[in-house]
Amino acid sequence: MTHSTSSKSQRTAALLVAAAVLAVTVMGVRSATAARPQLQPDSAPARTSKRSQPGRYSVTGRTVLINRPRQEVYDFWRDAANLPQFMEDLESVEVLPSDDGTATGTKTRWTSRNAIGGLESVDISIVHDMPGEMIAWKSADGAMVDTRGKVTFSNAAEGRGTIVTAIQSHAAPGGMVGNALAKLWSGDPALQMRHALKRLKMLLETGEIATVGHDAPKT
Amino acid sequence: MRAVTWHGKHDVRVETVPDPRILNPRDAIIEVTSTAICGSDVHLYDGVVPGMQKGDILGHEFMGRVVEVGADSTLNVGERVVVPFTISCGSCFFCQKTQFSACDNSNPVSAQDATEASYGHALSGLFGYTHLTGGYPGGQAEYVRVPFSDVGPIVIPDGFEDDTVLFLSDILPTGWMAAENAEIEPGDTVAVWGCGPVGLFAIQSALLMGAETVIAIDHYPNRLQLARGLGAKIIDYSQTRVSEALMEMTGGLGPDAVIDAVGMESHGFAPDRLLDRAKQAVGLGVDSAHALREAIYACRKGGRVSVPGVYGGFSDSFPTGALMQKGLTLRSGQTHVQRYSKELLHRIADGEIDTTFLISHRLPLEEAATGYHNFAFNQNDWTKVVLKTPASGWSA
Repeated sequence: MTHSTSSKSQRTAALLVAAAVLAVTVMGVRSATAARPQLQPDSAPARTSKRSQPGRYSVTGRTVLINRPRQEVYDFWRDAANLPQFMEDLESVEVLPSDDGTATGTKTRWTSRNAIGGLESVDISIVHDMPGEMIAWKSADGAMVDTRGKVTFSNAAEGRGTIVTAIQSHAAPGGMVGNALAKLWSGDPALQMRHALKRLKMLLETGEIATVGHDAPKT
Repeated sequence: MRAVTWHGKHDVRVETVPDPRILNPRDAIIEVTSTAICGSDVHLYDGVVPGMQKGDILGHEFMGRVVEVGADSTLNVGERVVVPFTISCGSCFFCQKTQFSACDNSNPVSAQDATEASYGHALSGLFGYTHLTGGYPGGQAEYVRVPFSDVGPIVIPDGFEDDTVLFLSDILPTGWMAAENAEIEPGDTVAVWGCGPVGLFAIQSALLMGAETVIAIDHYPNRLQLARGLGAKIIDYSQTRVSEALMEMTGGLGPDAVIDAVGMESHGFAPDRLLDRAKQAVGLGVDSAHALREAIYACRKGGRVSVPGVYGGFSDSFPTGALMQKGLTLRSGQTHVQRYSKELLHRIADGEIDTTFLISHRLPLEEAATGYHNFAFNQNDWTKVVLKTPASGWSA
């Protein structure tokens, strides 16, 4: 048996094996497809899906139970001056005049610190306001990071207070890479959201924010 | 001020540190008179609890006098108070259900991430413990900042010596809740693993709650004698086969309820326990759960398992089969101290409960390191150590 014949027969054998594997795989996939019932959407919010969500926005959401009446929680959040009390990354929120010249608090300028300690501002407008139920906002056109968010307030079971859900989405220029860089530059939105809601809960339920000193609350 | 600080495994020191100050409106500052070393402080001393930092002020069993109050404190300067080791806001979902040790609002937000990731839910704040529970400076010090001082501290009327009420801070309600979790019915036999302070108070509580028989299990003769003094039968596991003895002592039924007052640093030479300790030694974060396994094994069918002993991580070979097949109920948790404060103070006042019997040693705060060393390494003779500050006026 010559070397070339041997090599040829080996190639043939390899091809046969590959074809067999492919056939079995296809059969397997088909039978698995046939056996698996069609997926129905479940009751869980989309942000808890195991699949990454399509689109250029990075979405984060979080729910917290606050043992206070719904209207009170809404009113506290709706007053822009209160936001820096529980959004730790915010240095200040300034209320800007609305288009008609009045200060209704629908246009605001949020100032926060970036990773190297510099101050950065973004103008945020309330785009939907349902008293006692929901506040939705978005960043002004042309902002470096396109930010949209909403917070909803609903009644928990009798005696448990208010369910507060905040959802925020960000789209930085450059897609996923841009979003990752924005996270390094401005902080992790999911962490900031989680901490903000917990601080809000502390403030409304106890009148203060728990501290051991070196993370003393801002005044 | 002077304070007991943690510096690593078997290294505690008394150092001069900055005085605490009021940080929040509901705070108060307490000048400590008496403070005790707890078995769970020994877990910190032995380095088996994660999240400690060098310089942390230890201590979560303390009492003293109010010296400063925040704007929203309900305490008055000069009042004597015992402070629960659990820090609780009084107004969250859990506090309203009197599950005070599950308070949502006492652990600083940034400290909540670690336990939210490892346990599924953030723990509440505790004094003088790991940073997983906030890293609050503790009570083995001359002064302590007490948050939510309108909810926790128990105002002590005149006429009580410190040592008669100090343990309202932790071990007395912990032993009481352990017995309550055992859901004792008339005629019951309750077996208690561990005759440390919590085990001894659990024995005392179980008898007060109407247990027919309490059987105490340990291997330190002195601690077993204290248990016998309370009215318990005793088993020395160094000389007796525990499970077999419990069956023979309960008419072949097994104890109706079992209490694990040992926790994650069990002693003895059982093979499962040695394997646990070997894994702990190489940093596998395994709880040594020998006492709990033995308790579950011994418990009668349909019985109750109460776990006041402290665990922090995971335990291997947990007997899920025995738990399910025998239909056992398991209850555990850090103590909801505030739930029991008033009732237990009354029982002390009425002479129903004596808490001083287990104090073996009183030392000045300055000698805390001696107290820790002996409480950890001479457990037979050092059953409970109370540290006295200069403000107490105590002298040896």
